[in-house]
Amino acid sequence: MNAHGDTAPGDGGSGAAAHMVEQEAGLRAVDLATVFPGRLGRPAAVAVDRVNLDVHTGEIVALVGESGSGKTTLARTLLGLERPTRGRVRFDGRPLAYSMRALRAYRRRVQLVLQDPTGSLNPRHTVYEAVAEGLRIHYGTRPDEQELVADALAYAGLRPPERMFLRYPHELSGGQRQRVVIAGALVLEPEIIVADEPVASLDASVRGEILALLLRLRDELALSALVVTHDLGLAWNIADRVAVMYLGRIVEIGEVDTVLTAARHPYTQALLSVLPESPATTPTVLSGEPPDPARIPAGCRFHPRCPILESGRAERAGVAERCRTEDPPVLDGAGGHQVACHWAHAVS
Amino acid sequence: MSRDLPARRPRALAWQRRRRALAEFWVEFRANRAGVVGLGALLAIGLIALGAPLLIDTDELSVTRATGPILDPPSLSYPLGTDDAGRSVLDLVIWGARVSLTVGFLATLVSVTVGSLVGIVAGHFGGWVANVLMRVTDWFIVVPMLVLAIALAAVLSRSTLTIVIAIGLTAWPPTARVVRAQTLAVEARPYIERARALGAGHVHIMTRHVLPNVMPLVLAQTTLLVASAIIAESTLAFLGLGDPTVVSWGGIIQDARGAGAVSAGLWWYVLPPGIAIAAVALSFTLCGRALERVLNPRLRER
Amino acid sequence: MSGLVIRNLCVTYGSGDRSVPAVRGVDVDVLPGATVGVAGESGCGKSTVALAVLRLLPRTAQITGQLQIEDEDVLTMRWGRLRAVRWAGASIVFQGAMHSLNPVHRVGDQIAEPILLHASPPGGAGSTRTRVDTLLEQVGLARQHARSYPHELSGGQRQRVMIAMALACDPRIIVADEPTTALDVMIQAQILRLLGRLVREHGIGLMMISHDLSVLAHTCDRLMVMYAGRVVEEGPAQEVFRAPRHPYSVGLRAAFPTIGDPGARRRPHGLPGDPPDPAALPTGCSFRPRCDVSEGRCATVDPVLWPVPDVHTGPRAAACVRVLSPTPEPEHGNVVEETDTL
Repeated sequence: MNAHGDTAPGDGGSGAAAHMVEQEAGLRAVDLATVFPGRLGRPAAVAVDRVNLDVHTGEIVALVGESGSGKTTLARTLLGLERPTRGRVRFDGRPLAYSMRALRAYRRRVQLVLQDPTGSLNPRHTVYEAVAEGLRIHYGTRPDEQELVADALAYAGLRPPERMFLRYPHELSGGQRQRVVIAGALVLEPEIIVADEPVASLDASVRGEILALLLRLRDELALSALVVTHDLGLAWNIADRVAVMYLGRIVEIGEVDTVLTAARHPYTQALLSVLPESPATTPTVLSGEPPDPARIPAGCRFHPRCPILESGRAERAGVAERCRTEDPPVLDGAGGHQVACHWAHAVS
Repeated sequence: MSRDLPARRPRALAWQRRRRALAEFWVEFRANRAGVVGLGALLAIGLIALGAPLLIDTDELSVTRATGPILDPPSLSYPLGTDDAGRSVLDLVIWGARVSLTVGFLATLVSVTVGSLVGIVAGHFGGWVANVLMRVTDWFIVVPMLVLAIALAAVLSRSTLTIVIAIGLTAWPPTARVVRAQTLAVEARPYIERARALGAGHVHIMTRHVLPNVMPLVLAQTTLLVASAIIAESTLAFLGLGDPTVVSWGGIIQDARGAGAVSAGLWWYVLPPGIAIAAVALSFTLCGRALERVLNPRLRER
Repeated sequence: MSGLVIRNLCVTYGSGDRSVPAVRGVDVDVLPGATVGVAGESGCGKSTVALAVLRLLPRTAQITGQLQIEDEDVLTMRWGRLRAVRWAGASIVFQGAMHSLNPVHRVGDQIAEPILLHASPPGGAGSTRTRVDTLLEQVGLARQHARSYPHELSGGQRQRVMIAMALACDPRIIVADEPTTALDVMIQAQILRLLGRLVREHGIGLMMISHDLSVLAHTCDRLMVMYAGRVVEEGPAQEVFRAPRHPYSVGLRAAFPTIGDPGARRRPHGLPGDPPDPAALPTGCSFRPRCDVSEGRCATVDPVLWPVPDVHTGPRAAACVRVLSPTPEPEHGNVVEETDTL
């Protein structure tokens, strides 16, 4: 049924070890959960359900999942835009504090790039104002403001920067707008960028350019990035590690080269198999919609849609009962190829 | 695009941008003929009101010192006739514009400031803050303006300031509602999220992002409010709640009623201030509609 | 010839000095049961072609050329006939299913609307309801969903409803404009599978428009790549995708990496620059300013579609001077990497 799913690969831990540094990772989610209270008598929605994820310095991590998987909520929680209901965000070896002052300081060092560059720029602000905004928030009006803005614009690929200063967002193309947003983040010299679907609303030709820019930021400025996306091709293009999220939990994590070429979780395998260019002969199209975070199934959260369980292969491996009743252990998110699946562990 | 920018400082850049935006705005506004007519009329009325002390001897406006004949129909020396104290009605109407416009603008300033503040704060913070503020707004909406004004006039002195306060305190709720709705729409935009992630505080978001996006609406609202404030002032003056020592349009009509002008058919005494009120209110409304059209792209397309 | 036939279609917005050519001479044939993909960036004119098929363009647009559905000329058609053709002859599936559905009506009523307007079924209300149930079943939705409002459905379900609406009057042609763009990979796969099945089962001609070359390559028989209002490359979908000949197709192809391809690992590819302003196209080849293999003659020659001479499974053509007379150069089709200037 699934062409490359049967051969369970060896553990991909060796490649990941290179990225493991002695000191604590730059940005960490430790046992993080974010629950939105249910309204009008509905059950609470568990958008993020006990996630461990490290973003090391100089590393690009892709967080992949469908809409409703909680990937955007996880990103927002990591930025301090949502408060976790459990666990904590750690940055630079310290837990994130949620006082006004601490958050302000944090947000100088961790920057956000949103999906829709058109919406993330105030239509009444010029390019100059949009890029200088972060500087003004944190430092007031600086004498070298103009040089910093020009440098950031130039670095983001808008040259000559002076010609962009007075433009309004509506005078720019989609790719240029996203560069302005990135320049606005760069001007604060952050350590980490969290990008939520940075290229999803851009044209195919521009997409590559923006991704190349993110890659260049990592290579030249040692900037870490957490890229939230539903696009596995993007992960292959730029990421070092990839975390696959399903219903609020990371179900598979590891080096891009191992996870995407030898996926072990049936969900990752299915995602890969439906890509148009997939080597899998028969795509595993999961039926139905991604389920509701307000009603997370018991046992393994993927079991109602799991093709392995359905085809009886989990039965043969002797784990079918555990799939239905036992929640696989939470992954620690540090390094190495990890998978939260009874079947994958049983057959390896 | 601009040429010699690198040498300029940010402040100069901002000014250049503002000038350009203003020029664009003027081009759009000029295309609206009704708006241009309204603006022209307002400028003319404003100039006359400002220049009134040069045109009119204040002695002529005094009930005791006026020299004209009493209740004389329009003639060459008194183009709009005279009142029961022998004052020129034309002079009275011109002088009345000063009070009417002043009250109109001041009351509008008060109500727009209060309305925008309440609207933006309620829209930005939401939760119980919004709940409290909007209940207060609702309360003010149902308070009848005239009753409040009469009560205020009884407590405070009968002065122009009392009228300004009375109008200002009752006219802000619609502005607050409109501004709050617009604030909610702006707050949902991703650039607010981006600003927040950049580390922006409440004040920054409200002044840098919400206010500029709410301003056009407020501006259009302002011009429309001035018209109703002037009418409200006239009403209060007509009811005798105004300062009896100052000449205002509403006051003139009240005097005319007192002099029996309506039953006696003294049209030159009643009509001119009435027409003046209507003309100013209409001009402001025309301007306001034109502004709305220019500043709100959704209306512009129609 | 039945199906959809488009010959030398030109669409110009505005008039006089401010006229903007959006489509500049496009030929398309969509036979019943066949799927034709149209790829390109935003602003290349692909959506304008889609709207022109049903004459849905604004009045400021001037349309010339020939456009036939089932041997009937759409451009000269009377208004009443056009209304009939709009659902029964050809229908359209738009990109944003949320905005194309009326939020205050039940989904079932919205599907029934074109049936009641056009087909006037003999059995009245009862048979319309049966028809709606059949349509929902065809697009893989439960019958109960007819009573749902659009906001109660997920993105994929709404797109299914849109497809059910498009099918309502048994059209011969369906135009799908970015039908899966806003959807997740898994839902995209479901929708593409559904569209493919419907085309096969009902013998419908499908014109599918997308910016994602790989999606088109795997669902379409033939593929056309549009740039600046023209078709710059066309041919059998798989072939165009595997070995694109126009430098622009090469760039589009590389923008979506193949997972497992070491050439794309940590090396995202894109095209420098932005799509040209249709009001101010460059002289010669309109792709020249963004092309990494352009030569002197590209500035003067405006290339037309020229048959590609290699071995292939169907007619192939590309509008590039290098196809007409290749320049001796060992490397072909290399994609430029990120350049610093815009």
